[in-house]
Amino acid sequence: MESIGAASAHALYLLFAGEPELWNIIGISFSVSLRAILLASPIAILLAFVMAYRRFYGRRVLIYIFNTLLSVPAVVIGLTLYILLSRNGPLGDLKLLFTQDAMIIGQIILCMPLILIMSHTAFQSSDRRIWETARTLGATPMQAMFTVIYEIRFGLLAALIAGFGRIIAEVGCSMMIGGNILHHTRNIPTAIALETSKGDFSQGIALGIVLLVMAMCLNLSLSLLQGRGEMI
Amino acid sequence: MSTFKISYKYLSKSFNQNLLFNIDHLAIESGKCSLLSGINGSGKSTLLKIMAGLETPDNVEVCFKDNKLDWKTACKKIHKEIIYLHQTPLMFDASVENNIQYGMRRQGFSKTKIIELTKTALQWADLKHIKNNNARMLSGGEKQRVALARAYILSPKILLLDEAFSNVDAQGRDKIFEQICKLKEKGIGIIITSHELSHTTYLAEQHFQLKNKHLKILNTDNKTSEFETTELKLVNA
Repeated sequence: MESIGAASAHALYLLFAGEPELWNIIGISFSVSLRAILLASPIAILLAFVMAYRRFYGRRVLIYIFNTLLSVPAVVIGLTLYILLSRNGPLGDLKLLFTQDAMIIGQIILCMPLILIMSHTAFQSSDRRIWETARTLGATPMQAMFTVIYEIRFGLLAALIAGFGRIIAEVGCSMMIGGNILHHTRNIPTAIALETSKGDFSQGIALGIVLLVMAMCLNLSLSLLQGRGEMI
Repeated sequence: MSTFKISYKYLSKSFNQNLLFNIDHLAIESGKCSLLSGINGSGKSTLLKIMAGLETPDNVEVCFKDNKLDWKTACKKIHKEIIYLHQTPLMFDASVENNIQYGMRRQGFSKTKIIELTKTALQWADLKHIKNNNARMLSGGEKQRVALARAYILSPKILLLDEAFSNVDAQGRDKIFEQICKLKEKGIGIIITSHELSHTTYLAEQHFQLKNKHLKILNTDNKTSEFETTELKLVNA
């Protein structure tokens, strides 16, 4: 087992030398998680808006369900999807198991409740006058909704970043339904888990550095965005 | 400008099964200025919001040009012709200019028309010198003027002003009063709720009073004495 110092130095070398295997893992990780967040966030934000601004039968039950889903462990979602997608499972014919599509489905299920609940809180605490002013000035319900979204954009951005943070670093679900196949379904967290179990810390540290830098960049961009007051 | 007239019949609203008001008939039209008074909690703001289609009543029958409209159809008509201004107007997180352009952009005005009308509105409300400032940073009076300009430029038939003179100093009040007078001269119907009866007495031709869950119409020739009576009632309340 190499020392932490040597492993870290090697990790930096791997990163800056552009080691193809390492960058392939990073690419897969971002590609899968970005697609998951792009698919999940419009649905989650729209649902959150409807739940905050419309009164309908079963609204409270829906909030309760999403709150429960928020605390379901990733590995349980992975297990459920594995059973559904495995060859003998009800969705086995789709042949999705151990594919990036399956990983995307898993990550959508993981991040959707978090984005939805955080967005719902943001909508709930938004000023009702935004909606009323937009409507009375002639905006359609859809336009008024986009105005509300724009006005509370920082709360929603925080929800998206939290959702992205949850799936980019999640290992249980990706491992179970992705299968950790190199060049195909191996992403940053599954690779870190594998390399650590093999005792090869340098690649694990390199991937850990990528995750840390990404977290810093996301938070920096969020704080940079705050304070800009131009209307779309 | 042709007269726009809309009436609300059997209008009722309750919150948590507590009846707020039950109004048999209320008609409003362009070109007229009316005062709506009532003690705090009598439902003045709610009534204005219902009239603007922003709040759904328990029951209502809307008549427009002798046609009965269902609430959904009425709302479409109302949103085109009636604008409601909050007691504390909401400014979007944008410049004064962008705030004024908001309604025009959403209603699909052409670019050249938007630029032309924005200039007019800025001049009308004396906001030219602060057109690039973020509207959220303005004083209460300035915000009220932006809100009035933002509504004025859309040429509504009726403007519903909820406590337009509150949270504003004497100088700001005079400026807003001046703007409301101009709106009235343009033939826009105005309904105003206010405790500043000295200002509204001069403006209003009709006086509605929400009292004991019903709407009273105090519309006499001896306008001033009516208002004085109301003022006293409000002071006592």
